Amino acid sequence: MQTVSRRDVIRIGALGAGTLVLAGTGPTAAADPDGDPHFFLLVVLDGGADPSYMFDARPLSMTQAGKIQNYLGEEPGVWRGSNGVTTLATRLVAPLRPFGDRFSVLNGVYMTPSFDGHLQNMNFLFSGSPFGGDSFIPHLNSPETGRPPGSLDAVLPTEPPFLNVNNHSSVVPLEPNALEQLAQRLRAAEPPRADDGLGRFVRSRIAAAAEGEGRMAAGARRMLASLDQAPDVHRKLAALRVPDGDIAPEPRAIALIAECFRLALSRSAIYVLHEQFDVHDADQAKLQPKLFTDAVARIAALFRALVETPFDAKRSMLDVTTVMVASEFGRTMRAPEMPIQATGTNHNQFANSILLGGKRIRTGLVIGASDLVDEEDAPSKAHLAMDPALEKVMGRPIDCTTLSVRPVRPEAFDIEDYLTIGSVVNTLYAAFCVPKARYRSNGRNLPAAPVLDGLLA
Amino acid sequence: MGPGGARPHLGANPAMMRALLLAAFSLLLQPTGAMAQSSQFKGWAAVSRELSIRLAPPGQPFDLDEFLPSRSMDELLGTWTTFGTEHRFRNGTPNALNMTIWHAALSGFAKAVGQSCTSPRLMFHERFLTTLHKLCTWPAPAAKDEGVLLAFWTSVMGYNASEHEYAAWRDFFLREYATEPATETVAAMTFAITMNPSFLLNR
Amino acid sequence: MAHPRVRRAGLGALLGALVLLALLSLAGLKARRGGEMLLAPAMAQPSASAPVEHAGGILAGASLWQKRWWIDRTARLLRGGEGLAPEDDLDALLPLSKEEIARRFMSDERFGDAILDFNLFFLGFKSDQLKNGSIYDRTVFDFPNAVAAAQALLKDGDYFQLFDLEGPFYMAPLRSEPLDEPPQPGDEGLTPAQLRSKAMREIEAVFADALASARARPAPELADTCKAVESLADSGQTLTPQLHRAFDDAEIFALIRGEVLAQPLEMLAKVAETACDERTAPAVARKSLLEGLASALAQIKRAFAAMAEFEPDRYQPKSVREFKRFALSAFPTKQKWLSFGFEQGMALGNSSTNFNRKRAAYVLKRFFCDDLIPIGFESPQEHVAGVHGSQTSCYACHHKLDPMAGFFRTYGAYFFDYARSPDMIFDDLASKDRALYEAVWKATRKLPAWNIGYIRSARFQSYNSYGTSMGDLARILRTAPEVKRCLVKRLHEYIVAEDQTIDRGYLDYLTREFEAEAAVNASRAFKSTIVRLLQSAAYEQRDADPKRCYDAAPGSRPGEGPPCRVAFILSKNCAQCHNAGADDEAARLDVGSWILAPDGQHRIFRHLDDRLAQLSARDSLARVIERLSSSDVSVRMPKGRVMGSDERQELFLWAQEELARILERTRP
Repeated sequence: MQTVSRRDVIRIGALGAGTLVLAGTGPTAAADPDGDPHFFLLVVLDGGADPSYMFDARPLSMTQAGKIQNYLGEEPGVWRGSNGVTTLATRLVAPLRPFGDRFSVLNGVYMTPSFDGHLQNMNFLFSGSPFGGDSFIPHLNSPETGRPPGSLDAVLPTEPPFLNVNNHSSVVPLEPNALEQLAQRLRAAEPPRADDGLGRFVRSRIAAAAEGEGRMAAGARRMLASLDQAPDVHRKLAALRVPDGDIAPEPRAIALIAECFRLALSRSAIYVLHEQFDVHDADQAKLQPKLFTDAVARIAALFRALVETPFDAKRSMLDVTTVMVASEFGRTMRAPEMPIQATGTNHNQFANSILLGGKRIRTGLVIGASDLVDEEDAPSKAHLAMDPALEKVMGRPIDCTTLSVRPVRPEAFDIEDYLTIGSVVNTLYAAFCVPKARYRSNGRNLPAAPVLDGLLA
Repeated sequence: MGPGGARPHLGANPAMMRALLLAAFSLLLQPTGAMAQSSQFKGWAAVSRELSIRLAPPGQPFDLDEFLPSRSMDELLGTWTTFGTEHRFRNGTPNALNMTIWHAALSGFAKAVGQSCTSPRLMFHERFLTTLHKLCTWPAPAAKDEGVLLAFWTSVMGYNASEHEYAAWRDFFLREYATEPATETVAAMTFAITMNPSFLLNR
Repeated sequence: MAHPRVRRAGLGALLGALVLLALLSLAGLKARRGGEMLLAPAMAQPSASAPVEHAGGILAGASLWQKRWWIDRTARLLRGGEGLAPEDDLDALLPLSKEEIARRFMSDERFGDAILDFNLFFLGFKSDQLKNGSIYDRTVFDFPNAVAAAQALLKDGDYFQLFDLEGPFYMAPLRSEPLDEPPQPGDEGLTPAQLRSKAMREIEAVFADALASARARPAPELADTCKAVESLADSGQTLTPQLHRAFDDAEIFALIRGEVLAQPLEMLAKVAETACDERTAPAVARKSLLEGLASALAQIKRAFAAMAEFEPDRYQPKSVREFKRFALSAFPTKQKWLSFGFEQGMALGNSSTNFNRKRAAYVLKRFFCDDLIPIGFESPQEHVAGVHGSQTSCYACHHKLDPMAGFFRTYGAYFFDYARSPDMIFDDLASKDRALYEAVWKATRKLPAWNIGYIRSARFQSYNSYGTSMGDLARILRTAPEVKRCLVKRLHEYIVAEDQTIDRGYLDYLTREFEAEAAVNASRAFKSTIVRLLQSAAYEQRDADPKRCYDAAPGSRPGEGPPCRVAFILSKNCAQCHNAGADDEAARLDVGSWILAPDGQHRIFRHLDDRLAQLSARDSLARVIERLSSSDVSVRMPKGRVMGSDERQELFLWAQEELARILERTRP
């Protein structure tokens, strides 16, 4: 049967084709060259990427025992963190080795314990609620961080992920192809003016409408605030330089993002890899070696571009950007009722793998781990309570202060024992000086999920 | 419990304590910025349709995409249209980027209307053309006639705005553009109308 | 105007793969909160149908500007987005009443577009515009129940066709723009219509040639004929892409659902299996094979001829009335045509692990206005089995979600019906044994045999509406009071604003009127409801406060108690016991009252403690919250009654927010 990517049919627009690249004359001057610029790049592996093909691999003996599929058919190697902690990694991560000191690996990260759906976990990644809510992305751009906000909260040079969040009005898709024409037109057009009679009049009517109590007035207030920023955005967009020539998608995207960061157009960027990670079907699961070869190559290309693209005369993009690579969840070891040599995998929200690197992050570490490391490893009672069929590996209990895995087998499941996405996001919050009032907790009536202080530089 | 350390006095009833804690916690979780409670932009499609109905000949709607600064930018101005997922209205909340795009697009449209005083850029409805021709004699007194100004206003704005808005607009142009040339005045008039929240925002 | 373009290549191959798997399996491969609630039936008792209010002259007392604004806004609403144009005689409209104006606009041909747009909004697939210029966007045709209902409304027919999940198919005019993919060798320079014609003739020729060979004189050897027919029956993998290359994704979807190739090939496979069995007499076998080939060819020709009626030079509807139904009898499939079309097939995917919950959630959200988002969701600390039995947080959703999902149990990827197949293929391309998969919905009790339906109460079966088929689900949608209420609510959202608070009592009033009138004629009832909403105070606001209730049910007295919505829920669910006139302990709480609390700052119900002293606002609300959220049946309220989960949630939220505000204010 010919295997196809179903998601192919819903891709709209070119994925990174014809994106922006800097002209050869050098980077646009950073908006605040002497300040302490700090940006965020989230790389989303959309669909549930299997960590066992990257940094949370398993020995072949486990496959031979029928526990976990492995279509690579090779023993994984050891990936050693500078903190002395190791994990098993497949050879597919080799393109990332040159950047091994630029990111840390977090294994065994819990997403939402109660739902294993794509949307619920993507919502959980962004907002902390499986039903959606306020995303953490705009919080990184809030004035309460003490940093002047970017004009936009984030830019998306790719198709956005599916999620329900309330506050992404300034998380804006900026398709690189369309930006070229936009920049040209804006260069030829006048930015909004507040200093001439007409500009003042227009503003005055918006202000008048903004005085009411209702919905229209609220909208007018937003118009007013946005109009105040519009001249700046106009100039920044007009200053975006669009290159000639063919360049690979990832460096193009980073170049675009770099422009947006330099111009203080945006605080963050979200780059989505819409690969066919969701391999329920055995035939698709068998393609994972190729899938991850391509995906890791793209991630490595992003890292390379971050290292090689200057932010300013002194710093590279990676020097000023915190980078996170994450999927909405990991995958089960196999699907039930399918033979081990021909099985797909399902969703596993109990053991996600995340890469975290760049500015303010201690890099080169390996933090956390998942259980069932081999065919002999017995699950804890807590594991059995949550996954009686033993389809999933689960994160192991961790001491968030020392960042060490705790050698315990809990009798009952308590989310506070584990490394959670809440802690990861709170660590990002701490890195960006977001006030603690925003911090996520791991459950109702629980305190804020602990910040991984040992991960902060 | 709570930021100020207030302790509820409910005796030893844990259920009620839980209820209070829940309530306090829910207060912290109140989302700031009630975006769903703010009016959003109507979207490029709706605005184009409104202008076409009022200004274009019947059955010959404008194609106003030429005024967008870039293709596919219309989706950033508020849109229902998507494919492959349930539809909801997206990108309609005013932000710095879509205000920039609206400004650029509506400036271009306004300029085209103004330029129509000398060389027609768009195919207009007969009735609007009549009004426009009179207005294009600006700053002649006939152009400043209340009837002409009102007709121009309602042609572009429709009845979206209040009388007060019309009065403010009229008075501004009679005062500040009293002696300006027609092309520039008509363009400015059009721009002022189309940048008004009553024109751009949904109720 | 930029439109999303769907890449074509994936779907054709994907759906072809699904067809193949279906064919292979058919060709003989052996193998594959507690105590929830009912909106009390009495609630929906229809009152005597009330005449629609006549407001006299429009907006009596309002300024001319306000009147014109109302008329323009209403024109835009009822004429598919087209407000007042220079041709409209505004002066003639001004003296008319609101109802007269509205009904005049509703007699405009463009009203069909307005209704179609609303129907798409109701179904969750509204777009910016139905047309590009005068040509309908092809995606609009993808929602046959929306189209059928709009057409019915224009003729005062059965508007509730909106709830029919099986029915007609409105094929869109076939594509007139070239496909995105480059043409295959030999297809260069052909227009889309020419390419379609070529592809269809090629397929016809394959069958015709096979028939001609079988009929040749002298007659070929039976074995050779058998081989030819078996080969043809097995040629789906070749013929499918050959045909599909000429069509886009939406058209391919129709070809597959209609089983244009699959059914004839399947039929031929069955014929060959029987005829080519050595036990079959040669004459009988030959006759059977010839008839099979002739029938297959006829099926294909009939399907192609019916599709040709939709070539864009022959069919381009100018209004909703002109939308034409496809003659489904021309398609070989015996399956009823589902109203879930191509886009919904993509949007409402059914993975091998989600057990149709996404589709169920869609039906509940869109038709019942129940989006299942629980209040104060608490992640359960234990695994599912115990949780779903007793904890509110999961059970509140799943006790409704899972039975609703059962209606879709035979529908796999893209709503393809696998009812005749031993295996199911899902949108993630995984497959499962269908019988095992369906067994999830088998009930443990005797009746009903399947745990499938719309569940209002986990305790009282008589409150629930059970069924097994799409037809049953449609019947439930047509008769459930919740659905009509949801329809009216969505109409309010569409006409007034999506986020405008509506007094629940007012909504119930509108719904009662609608139901009473719909018992006679659904379309007229719908139009009358539109008129009522256009006459509402909320609709007249230029700058409405979304949190305010502008309208109330006739006879209600707003402003003398808790928020309008809360007051209604209390009166409906709690006041029967908790009122001042009760002669038992329940009288200690009077939810109809709203008095100053002992602290002199807050207002609260009259709510006495064991010593008959008035509780503080804080304590009273805390008790209310506890009673609403407890899973202990001895404590949980209302006792012995079912309460709508949405109402419970709203009341809980209100109490929680009130309490939080009080705590905030009383913080030192």
